[in-house]
Amino acid sequence: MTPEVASAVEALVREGVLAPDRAALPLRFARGEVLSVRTELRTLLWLGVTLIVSGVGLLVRENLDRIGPVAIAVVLGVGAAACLLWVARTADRFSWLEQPSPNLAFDYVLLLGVTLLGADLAFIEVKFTPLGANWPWHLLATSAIFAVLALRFDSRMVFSLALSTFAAWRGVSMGTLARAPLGRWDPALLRANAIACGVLFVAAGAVLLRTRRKPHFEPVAAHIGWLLLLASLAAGMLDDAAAPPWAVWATVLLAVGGALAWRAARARRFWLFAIGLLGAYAALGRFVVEAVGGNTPRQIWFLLSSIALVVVLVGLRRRLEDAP
Amino acid sequence: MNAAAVASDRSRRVRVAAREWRAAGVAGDDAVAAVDRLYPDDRLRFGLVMRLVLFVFTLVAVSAAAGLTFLVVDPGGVLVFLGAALWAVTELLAGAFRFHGGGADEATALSSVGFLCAGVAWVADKSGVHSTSTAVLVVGLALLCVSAAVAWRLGEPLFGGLAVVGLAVALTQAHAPRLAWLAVAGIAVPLLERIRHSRDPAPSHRDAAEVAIFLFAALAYFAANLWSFDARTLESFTSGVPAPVLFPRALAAALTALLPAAALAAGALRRDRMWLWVGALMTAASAVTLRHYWRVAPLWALLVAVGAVLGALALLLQRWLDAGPSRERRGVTARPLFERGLVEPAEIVAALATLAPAARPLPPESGFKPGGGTFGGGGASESF
Repeated sequence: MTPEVASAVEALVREGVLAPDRAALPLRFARGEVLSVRTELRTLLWLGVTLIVSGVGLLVRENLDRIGPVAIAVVLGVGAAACLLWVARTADRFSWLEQPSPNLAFDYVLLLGVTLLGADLAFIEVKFTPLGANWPWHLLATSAIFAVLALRFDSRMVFSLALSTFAAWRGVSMGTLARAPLGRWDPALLRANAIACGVLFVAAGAVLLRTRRKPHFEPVAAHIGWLLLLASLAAGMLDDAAAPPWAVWATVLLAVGGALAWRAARARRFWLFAIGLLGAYAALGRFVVEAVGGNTPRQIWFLLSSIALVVVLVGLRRRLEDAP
Repeated sequence: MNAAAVASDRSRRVRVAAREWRAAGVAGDDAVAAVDRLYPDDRLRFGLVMRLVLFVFTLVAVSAAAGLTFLVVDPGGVLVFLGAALWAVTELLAGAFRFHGGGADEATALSSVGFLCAGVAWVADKSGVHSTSTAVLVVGLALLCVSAAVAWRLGEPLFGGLAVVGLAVALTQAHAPRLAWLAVAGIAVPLLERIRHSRDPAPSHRDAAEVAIFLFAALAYFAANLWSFDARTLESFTSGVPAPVLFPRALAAALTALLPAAALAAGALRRDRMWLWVGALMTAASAVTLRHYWRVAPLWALLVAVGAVLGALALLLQRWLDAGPSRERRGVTARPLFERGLVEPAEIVAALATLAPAARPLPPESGFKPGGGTFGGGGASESF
């Protein structure tokens, strides 16, 4: 219930700004006479899918010996096929543009089918090893299948899983990037893969946008891509044993983060602006920390630079305004 | 909040609503422009992302300022002064600079609360309060008072929640903390509900009351929950002799079942989203509690069954609501109304966090290290 909005709707109708028939629903909503539970229903469906996938994973892990690998592979495959068949029968005709879901369950049954399919492919690879030493290629195949399903059924959620599965094929996830300095695997190779994935995703997003083929998928690719790119540059900057030395990584991070922030601010893409700004600030901070000795000058730098940034951002409010 | 801030706060609600109408196709650009003209908002506000950026950089500045201060002055003695100085900065930002929800004002307010509470704890320690119980009580009450004052002055919902946390901390030192949590929640929730549904308070104050109600409901549920009762969770916070419980176990069992039902009923009958969420979360907690005492089925079967039931419940509810007159039942509908577009990004982030596959291991840095790798894909984990 929002009493001031209810009063405003009545006043706007009196002033002729809103037509009475169009104002009826906003008025009821503001008075608390009508409530949409669509978000709650979607949350229930999402939670349902997550619980089913978790339960299936647990079933497979705990009962592998009792049930047998063939039965598990078949059951997972049948489950995935049933979900995807229903989705295929329910879906509208293909379009390169954004399409509304035909019903509330559509996106979630698709997600369930896709995750069961991914689990089935991984299980088959682990238990029957059809690819032998080339087992990681099943991740690439899974990623390609996810991408095709995402494009066909217009699902940004599945598209994000396709990108993350592709990155997993290259050994990249935010978790592995964070753990890279612990030396479990070659950090230089990991960073190179992460940078390549980041650039590829950003480029893929740009192509989708430019060719008007699923342009609404571009934000997913751009956000994951830029995040991977800047996180890997930051990881290189923070790794003192990295080659090339930290100063090179910091310079690149400063340039890339600054350019991203500048372009994102012009395009009013605030999450990208924030990612770019934080990356550039971290790189600049590393230079200052290395250049000045002692705690006091460093504290003064962080005090003055952050206040200056706040002042500049507030000064740029008109350009950066993302609130009504 | 002064009169001008309250007026701006009310205007902002109308401006936000106008944009939601436009997104839903109920109003056009000209209507939104008319609303902006008729309901001016002179406060300095930012959207979620810029607010977060400003919040983070202001916290960096505050931390650096505190670090510099601690280099020259004894940290303990200066905490209260730092807190007071930050309070003054917050007042300046909210007053002369007309910040409201601008990130920077929220960061200085939060830091002010933190430093003031830490300062009170330091003063209590130096004043000869050696009992842990008294120290916890003093800090809890300090958090309650300072947060409530900030919530009242600035109208920031977060501080309404912090005030409840402070009260809860203080009440852990009561003679019977479990009963105290239940009693205080029982008194506070109806009072705060009146504020929440009244026209007079500023919208931000109503939001602060809503956050406080949410937390009071959570406290009451935690106090009443059967597992919490059996584990003596609250009583163990009291230093020295464990506090008495003072109410029967059967009542705890009954409340574990009844509180979720009551919250859900309140949400459905009053078309109140907050109580629906409170009820749903309490139901989930009660289900976990039930599973703790009654292992009715293997965990995997339970997860699959509950997942299937939730999915089926959502679809049945949608069909039932859609079949009603004007696709409504008692004012509740499954149609999308004036919702903000945050659901899908949240789903994507959640899907990436929970369903994305594990990354394949890359070759080790030097030499060959046997031991196998990890597998996964499309939600699969490495361990089959």
